[in-house]
Amino acid sequence: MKDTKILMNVTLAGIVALGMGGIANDAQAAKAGFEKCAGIVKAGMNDCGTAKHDCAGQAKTDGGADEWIYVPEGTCEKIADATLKQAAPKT
Amino acid sequence: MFLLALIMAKFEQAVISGAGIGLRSQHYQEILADKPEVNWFEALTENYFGDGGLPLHHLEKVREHYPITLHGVGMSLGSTSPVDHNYLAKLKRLIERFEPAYVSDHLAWVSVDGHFVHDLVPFPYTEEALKNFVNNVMQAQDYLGRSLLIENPASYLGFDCADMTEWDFLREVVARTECDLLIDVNNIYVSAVNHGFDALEYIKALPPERVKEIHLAGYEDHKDYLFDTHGYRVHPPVWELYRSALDYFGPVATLIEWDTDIPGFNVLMEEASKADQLMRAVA
Amino acid sequence: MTSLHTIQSLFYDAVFDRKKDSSALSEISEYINATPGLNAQDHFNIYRDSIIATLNRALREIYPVCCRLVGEKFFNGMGTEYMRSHPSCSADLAEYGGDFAEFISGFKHASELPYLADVAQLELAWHRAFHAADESGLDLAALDEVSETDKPHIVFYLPVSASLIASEFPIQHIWQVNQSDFEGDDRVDLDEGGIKLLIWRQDYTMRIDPMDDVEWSILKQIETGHSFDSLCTILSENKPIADIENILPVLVQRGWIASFSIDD
Repeated sequence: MKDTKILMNVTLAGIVALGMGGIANDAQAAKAGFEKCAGIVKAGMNDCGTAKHDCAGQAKTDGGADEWIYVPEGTCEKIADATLKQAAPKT
Repeated sequence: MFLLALIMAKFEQAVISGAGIGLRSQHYQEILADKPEVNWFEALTENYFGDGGLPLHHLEKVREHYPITLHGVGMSLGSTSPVDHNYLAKLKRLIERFEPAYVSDHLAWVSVDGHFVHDLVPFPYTEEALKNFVNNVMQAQDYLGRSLLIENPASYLGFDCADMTEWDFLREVVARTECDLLIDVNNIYVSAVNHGFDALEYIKALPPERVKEIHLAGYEDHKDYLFDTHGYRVHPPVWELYRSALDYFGPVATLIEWDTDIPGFNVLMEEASKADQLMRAVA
Repeated sequence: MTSLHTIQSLFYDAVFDRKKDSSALSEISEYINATPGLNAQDHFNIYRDSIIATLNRALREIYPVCCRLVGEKFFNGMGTEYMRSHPSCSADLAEYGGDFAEFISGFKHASELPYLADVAQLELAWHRAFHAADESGLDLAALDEVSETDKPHIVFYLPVSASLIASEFPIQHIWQVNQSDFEGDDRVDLDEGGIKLLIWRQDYTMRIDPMDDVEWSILKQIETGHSFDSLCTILSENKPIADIENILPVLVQRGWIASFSIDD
């Protein structure tokens, strides 16, 4: 186990060095055993993630809750549930 | 320097005039790219209650080029519970940041005991309700340090225990709180048809000097009643009523609202220019 | 004479019919005028339908992928049952539906879609990140100024917009193929397995970043709010999990660590 004080100083030096031209580059990332981050990025969309207000009434679009028959009719059909199918015979 | 700041602040809050357009997120890009000739925009208050992010960023960009007003749907001035301070604090933060020409909300209740229906529900116009409403408006105005504009809602039900008309109620609210009025001409038309009263009588009963803003939108005909979806161009009888309203109120700043099936920005511009023409005719 | 509060309470109860016996509806109807063509309940129903449609629209806007997965009809039905037991407690619709994922996981009609609740969790995290406070990133100059005695007391923070979400299902892939602008093969096999994600916002860019187990455990430790010295101790004791001196700068560079304070 490394001395915590030394560890803190080395770590901080590594972080602060980012501001001086990015020492924590791909080489350092590779050394740490990290792959480059492959996240989903979505820039500047107007409406994503928002629930909007207005002062208009909402016209009825569907019946009351009791009238619903719960059969999913969406893209969940595209999700292969091999695991669930395997589990099914047990029941 | 302080005086200058004061004058600037006054200038920033200069009263709006002419036709404005309801700011909707679908149009941010177009507005910011083209800077269309629009007198002012109205922002829905609660859409900017977040701590940060794109909505506030866009509103800030729009505000750099246009005057704005803040129009709320959540103050619930008709509730029997006191106005929520957390709500007022958020609104005040927006007012300080964006310096709106007007701040408005509705003659309605949207919450009871802290539970919200998010719809503008009417209440019986009684002396009890009047005292309650007046009290809430005064509290809000005290907290915000400015007067509010109160808007008449479109309504689809009436109460048999009501003992005054909506216009008498509004007149009393104005007299007792020194608030001003935002008159939605489309809402008057819709309510007049739904409840069978005379829309012109309503308009003539209001104090013209207190009407600071007008709203226009398109209702939907549901056969047994008219429904206020804000999903169409302003209908001909509402333009007709608007013309009469301008005769009584003068050329009051007028907003085009559209919330359902929001069309291209050019359609809103066309509606706004129609309102502008009618305003010029009475100016 | 009936008080205003009674009328508002009755109206509210009638909308959501908590008792499921329509008793509030018949009571409130007594106060409402009939007009030609519409009786009192017809008038009331215009509001009830509008209120339910507004709340369902808000849920659809916060959980668009969930809605797409099950279809709008199913989703609205689920939403309507949700709102019966989960009142909206804020004037801001964006604050509604915070525990929808929990509701979905117990919703019997969705039991054959075990990933649905986790997708909802991802969408809530996205929604919250979208509205979270703006942040400028870790202040490296200020960090450089921290004195020797304060260094052990540094506490690092994830972005204020960030949520850490782990699922045993490939929810990132499910989310991705259900975006309206997605092109390509939209099939997902649940056998792809689980994923660990950081959902956050960098300036005005939304991010869903996957990570490995090491990164996950470090971010979890940071989220707990450990001081710098105990973070170092924990992570070096857990070797070979992490070389903190190499990993922390990488996490900072990615933006996953966005601020710090000195704990006293």
